[in-house]
Amino acid sequence: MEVLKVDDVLKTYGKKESQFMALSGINLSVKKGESLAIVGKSGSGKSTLMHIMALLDKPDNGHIFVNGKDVRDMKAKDLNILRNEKFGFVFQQFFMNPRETVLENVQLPLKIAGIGRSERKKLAMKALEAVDLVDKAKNKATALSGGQKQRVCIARAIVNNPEIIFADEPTGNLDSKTGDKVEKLLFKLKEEKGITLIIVTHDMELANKCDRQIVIRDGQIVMRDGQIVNKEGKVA
Amino acid sequence: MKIIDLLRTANRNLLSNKKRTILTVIAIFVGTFTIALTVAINNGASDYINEQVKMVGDMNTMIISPKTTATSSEDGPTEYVSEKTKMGADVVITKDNQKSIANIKYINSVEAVKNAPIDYIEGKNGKKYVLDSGHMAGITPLEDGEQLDEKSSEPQLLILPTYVKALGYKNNKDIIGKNVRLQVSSSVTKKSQIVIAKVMGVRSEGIINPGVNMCNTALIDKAVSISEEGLPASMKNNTYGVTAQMKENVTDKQIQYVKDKLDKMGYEGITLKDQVKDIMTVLDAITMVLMIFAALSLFAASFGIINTLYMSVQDRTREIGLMKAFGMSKRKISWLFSFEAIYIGFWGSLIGVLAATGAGKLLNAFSKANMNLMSGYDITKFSIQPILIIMGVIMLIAFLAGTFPARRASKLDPIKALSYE
Repeated sequence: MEVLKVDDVLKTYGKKESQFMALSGINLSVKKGESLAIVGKSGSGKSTLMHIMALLDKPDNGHIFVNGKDVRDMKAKDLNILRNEKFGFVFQQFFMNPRETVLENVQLPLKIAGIGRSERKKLAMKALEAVDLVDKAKNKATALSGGQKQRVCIARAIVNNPEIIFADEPTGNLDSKTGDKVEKLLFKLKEEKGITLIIVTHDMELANKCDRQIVIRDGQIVMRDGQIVNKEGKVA
Repeated sequence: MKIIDLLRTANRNLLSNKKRTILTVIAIFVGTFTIALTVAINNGASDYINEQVKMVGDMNTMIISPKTTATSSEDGPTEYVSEKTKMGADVVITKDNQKSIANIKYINSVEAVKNAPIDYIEGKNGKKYVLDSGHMAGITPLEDGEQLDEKSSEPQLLILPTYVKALGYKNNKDIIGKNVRLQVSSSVTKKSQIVIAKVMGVRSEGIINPGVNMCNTALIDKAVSISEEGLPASMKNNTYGVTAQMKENVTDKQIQYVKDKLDKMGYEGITLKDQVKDIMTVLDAITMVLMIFAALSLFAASFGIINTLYMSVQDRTREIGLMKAFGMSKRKISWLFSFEAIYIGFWGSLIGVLAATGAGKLLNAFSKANMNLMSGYDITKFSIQPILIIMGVIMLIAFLAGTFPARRASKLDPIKALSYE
């Protein structure tokens, strides 16, 4: 089942002479439950692509289909609800609220969804169980190691039972050992819960652990699953 | 996000940077305190005036005196025209004048205002004091005791509070019912007599006939007849002014009719309402000035709110970006910051109002102990309705100030916000 489809997406920045094509001619299909790595160097457009797929940004041309539905004409309010219910995010810089406890941080997507206090706490504890950090629930978010922080972020990303998790350089700020642990956790959860995983990374090792890979250069897909492709997306 | 969660989050955000919040709240507090205290003083003073007027009771009394020609005006000195210009000795109301005044439509009765020509008053301790006294129709507000009996043949007196201890009595209750000695002399024969009068009560100092000890008819008639001994008949029983009792429920139009009639006859009529109006105008003017100052300080304080919240938005740019990524709507993000602004307004105005109430109590105690003007009354009056209105307005101002940063927060682009350093 196709959970996400990117259809001929174009994204530009700037105007006229200084116009810059961040993405052009992007076609992509993601199946439910698979893991996809978007690989590229800095400035290749991989983050831009992820933002557009995660509905955080709109393409200048082309369509995005979520579960078969074109989101182009969706109202902002409905897009917000869609992201809140179906997506989860893991970022390189963690982005936790240092003034709140671990448990409170994990609850954020549920709070935004308007779920009540006691229900939120229950779901958050379950998510912390899944990442094995229940004992840190009452700690302030700052008092954790890098790897623990990222695990809290993963808990936050799964707390709302999303269909897709978008991870932007999830191990970028971690040492290789901790990074490995976090990677294993991500894939384990994907298998257990059937979540689609879309990982943006420049780390080829991590990319190769995914079911599929695409390589982006200068805003265009140049490789799919190990095969070089030309402008029309066909294997060269 | 549920409203209650928005409120909780806003509250927590304010508490997380206590210093910043407290400083902003203090600015609001100063403005609120000033406004609340000013309003309370205005209410206290107008309440006092209204009470005094209510006690005297009659809105249908008019004080009538001969019009005196102004000696000069903006255009220069006034020309002397023998029939019309009245100065000095001519400026009296004779018994015949009083009759013609009494004949004016809507006027029921006329009574002469008499000054009592009393030389001194002597009480228990034998000390002699000058006594400013007079007789006027109507009720005088009392601290203690009873009103004068105008029908009685016994000379009676209502005395000012300052005389009680001066004459050697312990307190108000001590002097009530006691007799005092008054000396009256004739302006012509220079002979003096002692008149014994009973003190019926202690009058309160106030805006009604201030500074005058009140005599009943028996006392004033006795005093006047002694002092007028030897005067030619045409000069007896003349008065500088009369009080006229108008009919019950007299309307403003009717009052104006009487005033116009009196004006034609060469007299000027002032009602109690007119006197009170003048005082109220001054009171309102002072209040207005104070309120303007307070409003200015609130205006300045709202810039404090704007500044604080802008800094808050900037500090939490990434947090806002994250919330947007997780699906929080622009409107709710805007409301989050608006709630913070309203909280600041709430706490600032609450503390301001409480402090003003406390200051008001202190002022009341101080004024009771030291000021004779409003004996027995509170100078400040606090009541729930104005307090709630003040707090509501200030919270509204705070909310409005917060809309600028709130909008800025809601418009942040989530991607840019997340990569903000």
